[in-house]
Amino acid sequence: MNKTRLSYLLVSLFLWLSPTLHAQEKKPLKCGTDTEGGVPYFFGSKDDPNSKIGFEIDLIAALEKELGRPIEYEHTEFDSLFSTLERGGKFDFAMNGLEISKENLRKARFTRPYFIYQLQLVARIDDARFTTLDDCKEQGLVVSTLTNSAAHHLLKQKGVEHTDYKDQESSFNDLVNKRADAVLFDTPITTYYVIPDDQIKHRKRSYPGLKLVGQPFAEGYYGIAVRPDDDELRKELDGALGRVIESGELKRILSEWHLWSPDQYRLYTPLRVDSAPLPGLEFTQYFLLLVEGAGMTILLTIASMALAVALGLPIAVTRLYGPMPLRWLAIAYVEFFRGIPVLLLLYFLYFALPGMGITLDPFTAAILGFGLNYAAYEAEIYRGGFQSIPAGQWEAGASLGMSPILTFRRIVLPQSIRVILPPMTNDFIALFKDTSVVSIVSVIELSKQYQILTKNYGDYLRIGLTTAALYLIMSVPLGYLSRYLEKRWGAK
Amino acid sequence: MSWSINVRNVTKRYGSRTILDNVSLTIPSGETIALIGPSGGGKSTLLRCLNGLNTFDGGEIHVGPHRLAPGSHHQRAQVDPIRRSFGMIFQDFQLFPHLSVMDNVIEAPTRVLGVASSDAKARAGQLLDRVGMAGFANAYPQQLSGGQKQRVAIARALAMEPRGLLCDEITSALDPELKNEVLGVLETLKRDGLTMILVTHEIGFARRAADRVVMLCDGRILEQGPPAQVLDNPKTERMGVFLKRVMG
Repeated sequence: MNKTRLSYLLVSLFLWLSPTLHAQEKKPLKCGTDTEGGVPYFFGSKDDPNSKIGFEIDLIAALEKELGRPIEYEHTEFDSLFSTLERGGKFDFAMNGLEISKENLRKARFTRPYFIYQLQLVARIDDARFTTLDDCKEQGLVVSTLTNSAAHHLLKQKGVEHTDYKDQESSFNDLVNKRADAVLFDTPITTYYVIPDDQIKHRKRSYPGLKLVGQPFAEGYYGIAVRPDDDELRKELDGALGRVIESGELKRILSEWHLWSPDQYRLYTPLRVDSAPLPGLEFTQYFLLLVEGAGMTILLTIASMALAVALGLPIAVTRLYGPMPLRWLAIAYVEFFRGIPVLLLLYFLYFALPGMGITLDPFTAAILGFGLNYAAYEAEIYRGGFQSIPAGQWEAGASLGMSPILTFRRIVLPQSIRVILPPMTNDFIALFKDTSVVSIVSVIELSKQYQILTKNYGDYLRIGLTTAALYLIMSVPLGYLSRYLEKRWGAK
Repeated sequence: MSWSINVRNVTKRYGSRTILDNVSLTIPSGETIALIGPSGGGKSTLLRCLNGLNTFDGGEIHVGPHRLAPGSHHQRAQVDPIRRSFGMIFQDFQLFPHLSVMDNVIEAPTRVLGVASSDAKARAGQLLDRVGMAGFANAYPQQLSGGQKQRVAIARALAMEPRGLLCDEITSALDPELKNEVLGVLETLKRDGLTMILVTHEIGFARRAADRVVMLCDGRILEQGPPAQVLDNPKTERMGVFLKRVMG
C-alpha cells in the first residue's frame, strides 16, 4: 500500500492503542450522584445547562488530582443512591450531600466528612406562626423536604406532618403555593434558595418572599459513601480527602461557594463515625405498613372509578344522542383524555394548576386525574353497550308511545348493563394497578410504601413478594367477579 | 269517534331509489286491510309511515284527526297520539328481554299513560287470557316459542287500548304450525272491531280475514279490492305472475 495510507494506519493504531495502554495504569473511578442534584451541589449552570458545576464537582476535581485517577459520574436519582451503591456494578462510591446518619450507616460506610451542615427552616416572608420545628408540630403545620434526606428522617421521627419530593424545587413550590407551611433543608440549600444576596452567584432567584426562620439545628456531616465491604476504596478516598482538607483546598472551594464558616475548621480533625447497622424490619411491622398502603390503593380506585362512571355516562349519552355541537365536545373529550398519559395529567393537576391559582391536595389531584382519564374509556364502553341494543327495541318502545328518554332509561340502559359490566370490571382492575403512579403527587399507596420500605431497609425480595401478594389478593377476586358476570350476562 | 286512515299522494325516496311513488289509500275504521306484493315493493315502508317510524318526502297522511307531514323527522306531538291509537307488531317480536311477560305488557300503560300498576296488571291478565297466554305472566321472553312471543307482543300492543294494529309480516318468522296461533288471535280482534293493517305473505289468511287486499309493487298500488276479486281475478299481468308464484 502507498505511503499516505500506511501513515494513516499507523497514526490511527497509535491513537487507539495509547489510551488503552494509559488506562491500564489509572482505571477511572465511578462516582454515583444526582446530576440534577440542584444548587449548590451538582447542577447545570444557567449560562450553559449542559455543563455541570457545583461545590462537589470542584471537590471531585481536587480528589482526582490527589488520587491520580480520573473520576467519572454515573447519574442516579438521589433517593436511589444508596440502594444502587449497595447493589453494585454501576458506581464505586456516592457523593451528593449524603449525610453520615444512622439510617445511611445501615447501608454504607463513609469517609471522613467534607462538610458540616445544619438543618434550617424556611417560611413565607409574612408567616410569623413558628420559629422552631416543635412549633410546627404543635400547630399541625406541614413541612416539605427532600425524600430520604436527614431532614426527612427527622420529620418522620418527630411525627411532623410533611410532604417529600425527589427534588428541592417541588418542596419550595409547595411552600409558595401554601400546600406546605415550611421547608426544612440542609444549610447549603437554604443559603442558595432563600438569601437575597447577589454576591451569591448561581443562587436561585425564583423564590421571592421567603425567609429563614429560627436557629439552624440538628447538625450533621456530609461524607463520601462506599459499600460496607469496600474498605480499600474507603481508605484511598479518606487519604485523598485528608490531603485536600489539610492543603486548604477544601476551605478554598467552600469559600468560593459561600459555604465556609469558622465552624468548618472542625473538619480538620478526622471524624470516625462507625456503628453497627440497626436490625431490619420485622414482617409484622412492614406488613402493617403495606396493608395501610393497600387501603389507600383501594380508596383511590373506588373513588376514581366512581368519578369515571359519573362522567362517562353523560359523555356517552351526549356522544350518541345529543345535539351536534355537544356531540363534538364529547368526541373531543374522549380523544383528548385517551390520548394523554395519566401521569402527565397528574403532573399537570398537581404541579401546574397552582400557577393558575388552584392548589389541589394530593388525594383530590389523584382522584381527579384518574377520574377524568378513565371517564374517556368508560364513555366508549357505554357507547358500545348502548349501540349494541338492536334498533328494533327502540322501535318497539316508540310504537308503544314511549318517549326516547323513557325508552333509553327503561329498555336500552338496563339491557346495556349486561354488555357493559365485564369490560367495566376489566377497567376497574386496570385502574387498580394504575394507582401505583400517584406517588409522584406524594400520595402514599401500596407501591409507594413498597418503595419507601425497600429504600430504607433493603430486603427487596421479601417486601416485594408481600406487596405483590397484596395486589393479587385484591385483584384476583375482581377477575373472578368479571368472569362470573360474563357467564351470567354474557352473549347467549 | 271512529278514526280512518287517509294516505294522500305519499312519496318516499332513498337516495336515487323511489320506494313509495305517489301512493294514495283510504282505510275506514274497523276494516282489515292486507298489503301484499313482492319484496321491496314498499309494503313495510308504507306501514311504518303510518305510525311515524318512517318519514316520507311528499304528500301527507291523516290518522284520525292527526296529520303527518313530509319532512326529515316528525314532532313528538304529532306522532305520539297516533302511536297510542295504533299499536305495531313486528316480524321479530321485539319483546323486552329483561322484563317478564307481565312487565312487558304493563310497561307502556304504567309509564306512558300513568295507569296504576294494579289496574294495569289486572288488564294485562285479561289480555294475556285473550291471546291464549294465561299463566305465562311470570315467564321471560327467552323461554317462549315464536308463536307465544308474538301473542305476548299482541297483548302488549293491546294494553294501550288502541283503535287498531299495524302488523308487519308478523308470522313470517314462525314455523307453519305456530302461524295459526297468531292468526287466530287476529281474527278475534277483527271481530272486536279493531282496524287492522297487515303486511303479509299469508295469502290464505288474507283471503279469509281481509276486507280488502291491496297490492303494492315498485312503490305503487297495482290493484286493490275484495280478496275474491284481487286474488282470484287479478286484472294486471304482474299481479297474476306474483300470485302464481306465491300460491304455487
